[in-house]
Order: sequence, then structure tokens, then C-alpha cells
Amino acid sequence: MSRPLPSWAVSAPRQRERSSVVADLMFVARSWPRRIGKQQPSGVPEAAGTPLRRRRFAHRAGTSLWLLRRRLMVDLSGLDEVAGIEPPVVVAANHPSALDLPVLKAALPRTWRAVARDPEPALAAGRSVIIFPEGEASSDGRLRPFSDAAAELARNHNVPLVPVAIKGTFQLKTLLRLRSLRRRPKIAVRIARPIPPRLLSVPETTARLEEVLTDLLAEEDLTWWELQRQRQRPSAPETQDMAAWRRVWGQWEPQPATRRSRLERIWPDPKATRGKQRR
Amino acid sequence: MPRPGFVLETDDKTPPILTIGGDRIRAQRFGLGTKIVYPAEGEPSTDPAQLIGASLDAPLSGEPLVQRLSGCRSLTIVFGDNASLRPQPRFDVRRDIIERLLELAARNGIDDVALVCATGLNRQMTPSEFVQLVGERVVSSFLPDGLLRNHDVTDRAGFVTIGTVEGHELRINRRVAESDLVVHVALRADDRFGSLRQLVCGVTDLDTIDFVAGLDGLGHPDRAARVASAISDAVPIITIEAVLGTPVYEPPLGFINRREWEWRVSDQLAYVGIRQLLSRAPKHAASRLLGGLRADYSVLDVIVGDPGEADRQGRQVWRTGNAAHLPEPADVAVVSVWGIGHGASDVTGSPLAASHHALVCTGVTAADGPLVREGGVLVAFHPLANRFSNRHQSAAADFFAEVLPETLDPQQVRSDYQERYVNDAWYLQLYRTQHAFHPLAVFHQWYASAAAERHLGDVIWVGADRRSAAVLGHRAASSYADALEIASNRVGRQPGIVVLR
Repeated sequence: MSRPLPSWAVSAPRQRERSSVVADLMFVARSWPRRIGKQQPSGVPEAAGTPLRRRRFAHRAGTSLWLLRRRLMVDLSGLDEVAGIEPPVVVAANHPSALDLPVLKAALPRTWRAVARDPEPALAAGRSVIIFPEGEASSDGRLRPFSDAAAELARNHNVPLVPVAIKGTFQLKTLLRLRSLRRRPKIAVRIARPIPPRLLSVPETTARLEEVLTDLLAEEDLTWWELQRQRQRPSAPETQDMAAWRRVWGQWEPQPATRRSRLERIWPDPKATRGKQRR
Repeated sequence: MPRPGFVLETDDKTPPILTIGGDRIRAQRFGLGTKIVYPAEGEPSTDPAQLIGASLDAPLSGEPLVQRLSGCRSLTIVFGDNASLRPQPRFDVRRDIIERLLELAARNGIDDVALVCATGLNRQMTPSEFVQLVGERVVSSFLPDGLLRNHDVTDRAGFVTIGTVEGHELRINRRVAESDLVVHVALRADDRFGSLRQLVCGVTDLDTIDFVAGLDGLGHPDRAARVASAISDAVPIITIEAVLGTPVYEPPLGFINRREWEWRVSDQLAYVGIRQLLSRAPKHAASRLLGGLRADYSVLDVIVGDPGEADRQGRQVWRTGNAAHLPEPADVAVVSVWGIGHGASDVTGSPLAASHHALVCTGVTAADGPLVREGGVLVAFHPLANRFSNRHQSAAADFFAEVLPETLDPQQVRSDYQERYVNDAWYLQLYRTQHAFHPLAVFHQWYASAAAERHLGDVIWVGADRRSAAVLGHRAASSYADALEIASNRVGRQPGIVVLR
């Protein structure tokens, strides 16, 4: 070393600053007597407007989702789209099966306290509401015409409308019965960015909701960017004119690995490799 | 409206003021008459969709973006990495902007779209960091096809010469140079590093980055603007700069958001709890608690325009929204250094990063309004533990162990070591494959710190490792009072003190 350091400049093992809980509590009690907080120090600008709000955070899934995941492979995505959204909200979902409600209740953030009955009093009480704008469960997995109920409710209460797409629950009861306990059917729940309630008219909001849900369902097969581009092209996606049996057949097909899941998987799927070796 | 920033002069009723040094948190009592600089109060974010839409329709100059996109066949979206934004944002507004841009591009039938992350000398981003920054839908749409990628300064074939600046050959990313339209999406979270600097040091080659931010570039602060102007002359480029407000911290660190005299009992208990947890939890757990912290940033404005124009306007908006006015430079400036690690699991940061943060990033010695007078003293809280990541900071670790014990002189550092480090195969391999910083980054960090230090009489670290402080050419003190005792040789027994809260 050509640059001499002072003789006392030696590295000592780093000791973390420690003080007992009691000492810290006494320091706080002495330093913040009651009078502080009631009077502002001189020169401090006055508050202009509302004070800092406490925000609820939406990223907490409950134990019910954990339980659901024991029996089903749940692909839950889009929670970051609703991070920071304060309840109540109106959740509008497609309705492929009777099991949608328990799946949704498990998947949605716990702090939303979502219910499906008595929407008006629930929203007034600060609870979120799940609405299926199709009315009843789909018979072939395809989206049925949407009612304006969800958009109207969101508009009347001025709360965000959150589109949620569910895929894979069609005929889920039968699947759960037919397949052995070892195999877990895959279902996907995709949450989209909330639609502001009063930016568009009610029919326009419903049309927007339908568009978003169609896109969300298609995002399982195509990427978002491919969908954006396809929308500009004259030919509509082929599913519109597909024969009914093909749509139902399609709902029963095992879900292929999406681009996203390929991206997340670093190592090859051990089950897939094992299968190949056997063959 | 949030409360504006202000300077508080302490009196006998002022409670202790929060200081955080690395992973140590404490409420420090400051002497009577100390000036405490508080930033503007943070505000929770709101949906920026309308702000973005309005800004894209009304740029500072030129046609709205929609019209610029019509007739365009290849579009490149350039965005910065998330290295400089600490704490990390809970949601990044760049994601909304990029999604909006892509929707417009799709509507205009542009098929050839690519996204380039302007990392410059910083470490290249991982897929999960991309997801956090631009969102899952953009990543899954573009990353598998290689259309979302990091800028690589070592890729010789990936550059195109677009002109000269002061005789220097200006080379930029090939994809950026050959696009019909380039949209640069940037954040402004401080006074110094805005969109212009990020563009100039983000998508250019190694020589150009050295030309702008290296040892010679420090004496020519207008070089960045000239290079940006040359880039915008050669490539049709639009900058979208989102100006951020003060961060609002999440619980359990919500007490940081509040001024100390407004702490409720719950804040005081949270302070005690966090302090006890940090001092008793294993080092990694403590680091994760602070390092994984996310904050909410409000978007003050979104500015669309030419690179130079958007940068100037963005800086003005940032100052109006966040800055506090200090009448005159003080004798001693006191800063807390924390949250400067290289990733979410490291909050403490290396001694070199701490030194750069205290001297350069806090702006205490900024040329246009320093907080401390010429020959004054900087007191900083940080442990300066000699810890570097083997994977990400290998070059910095060797620089600290090999170069600084030999010399602190930037000229000598450059002539004797820079060439060797920059061409070292191991460091370059780590940069390309292991998301490490480029070896030139640590040299630029040191040059900037050394230039800022010339303004000061002394730099004193409270609670720091004595050897690390001596290697940096600074001094260490065991407590704040000791630091002032040491500083009294330079600034006398009655110094004017300013504390950055």
C-alpha cells in the first residue's frame, strides 16, 4: 500500500447498535410528551387540504386460496393491476360454471370483502360486490350477452368496475369427479385494470367491459400485444364463427403452457421429461 | 394539495429527528438552531391515465404523438432501468405510459415494435425486474421474441455512428438509430438525473458514455445536452418524462412520512418496534425488511417533447413540487444514507455507493445551490461496511481493495487502472451474463465523488468502519457529537448546521 492509512484505521467486527425495549420506550415517552402534536413548531406551513389518507393494500390473498390451490392449479394474475385500489369495487366476471363464485371469493383480495348478494346495501356498507353480467352460467363456455347491471351499479355508487375473467371452471364439477385426486385441473383467474365508473355512459361501459373480458379470455392463448394487433385487422378471431361443439370441446381441452408460464419456468418441467423418457 | 417543503429551525420543543444510516434507525437530537430541511409532503398516487392521454395529445412542441405515429413503420420504445429510484415504486407509471403507447401503435398498424432498456453502465435487468417495471403483459408479449432487451455496451456490432460532437464520434444503439420513431419514456425523481442524462448515458457506446460522464466530462456539464441534441438531429425522437412527487412509505414504515412532532402513539411504537427488529433480526432479514420496501409516488406531471425541452421543463416541475428553499449554504451538512444497495436484498450498500450517494446524489455540493459552503463539512450516517456483492459488484470490490489504497487522485486512477479494468474479461463476462455492473461504472462513480469532495473541507461518517472511511480518504466518528467535535477544526465551535430529512 503506497498511501499510508492512520494507525487507528482498522476494521473492527461490526457491532450492531442495541438498546433494550424498555430503554427505547422510555426515550420515546420522554421525547414525545403529550404537548407535542398539539402545537406546530413556528414556521411550519399550514396543511392545505386533506391529510394523508391511510390506504388499504390489496395484495393479501386469504387461506381459502391456499385451500383451493391444494385441489386446483390456480393461475391468478393481474393483482398488480388493482394494487392500491380501495374497496368497495364492483367485480364483473364471466360465468362459465356454478363454481365461479367460490373461486372468485378465494382469489380476490381479502380486504375487498366481496359478496354476491344484496349489492346495494353491501356497497353502501363498504363491501365489494361480485356481479355476473351474463346473468346465468354459460351452456357452452362462450360469453352470453351482457346486461348493464354491473355498469349501472358502479355508476350509481361511483366505485371502480373491475373486470375478472375465469377460465377452466366450465364443467369443473365433472372434472373434479372424473380425475383422480392426484391430478389438479388448471383454472385461470385474470384481473384487468378497473374501468372508471363515470367516464363513459352505461351502455359504453358495458361494451368496454365485454371487450376487456373477451381480451382477457383470449390472453390465455395469445399475448396482449398480439391481441392489440389482431383487433386492427379486418378478420375477427376465428372463435366467433366456430361450431358449437368445437367451443365446448375447446373448454375441455387440457390447457397448454402459455407463453408466460414458459417464461417463468427456468428448468424443464420434470413431469414432461419423465413422460418422454417412458415413451 | 400536499404541504410544501420547508426549513425548520430547532428549538427546545423540537422532538428528536429521524436519521437512518444503512440499516440503523434512530431518533437523533440536534442542537438548538439546527436547520432541518423537510421535503414536500408525499401524496398517494391516483390513476394517471387522463394525465398521460392529455400530455400525449398536447406535447410541448410539434405534432401530437398520434399523428407522429401515422406513417411510421418501425417504433422503438426506450425506457430507463430502475437503478436510481429508491425506494422502488409500488407501481411504475412508465408501465402505463408504455401500454398506452403500444395501444396507439397497434391502432396505427405498426408491426415492427421493440423495447430497449437504456441501462448504460448499470447492471442489465432480469426478466422479473422487467415484469415489475413494464408489467407482465408487455413482458410476455415481447421478451420471448427478443423484442424487449437490455442495451449492451459491449456489443460492438450493435452500434451505429450518427455524427460527431466536439470531434468525438457519436455511436448509439443500432435499433434506436434505425427506427422511424423513437419514444423515450423516463422518470424524474430528483433534481439532477432526468431524461436527458439517462438517454445520453443509456443507449450510447462505452466511449460516448466516458466522453459525457467520465473524468473529462465532469468539467463540461453541457456535453450531455450537446450529445442529446446530436441524437435528436439524427433520429426522430420524442421524450415522455413523468415527474414524481415525494415517496409515501408503506406500513410499517409509515412513520417516516410524518413530521416528528406529528407522530402519534402508533408511530412512536412502530419506531420502537422497527428499531428493535433491525437490531435483533439476522442481518439478511433486516436488510430485506428495508430493501424490499416499496413506496407510492404521485405523478406531478407528464411532459412530452424534444429531449432537451422535456428535461428542462421536468426539472422545473420537480423543483416546484418537491424542493424547499434554504437561504444560504451552511457550515455543516448532515445526511442519512440508506436504501442504496444494488438490489432488493441489499439495503446497506457498499462504501463506494454510500460515498457517491452522500456527496453527489443528495446534491449537498451541487454547483447551482450547494447546501454547504466551500470548505465546509459533510456529516453522513452510514456504517460503510466493507461488503460488496461478488456477483454484481466484483469490479467495485477490487477497486476498493486494490486502487483506493494506492491513490485517491482521479487522474492517476484513470491513467493506471481504468484501461485494465474496462478490458478485464472476467468483469465483462459478469456484466454480460450475471447482471453485474460494467467495470467502468465504479470509475465514473469515484470521479464524481472526488469532484464533489473538492468543494468540502472534510467528510465525516458517523458509526462507520474506520478503515473503510480512511480508504475513502474520509474520517469516522462514533457519534454525532464526536463528528461535530472533529468538524470544529474546520468550521469552528459555533457552526451553522443543516440536516436533510
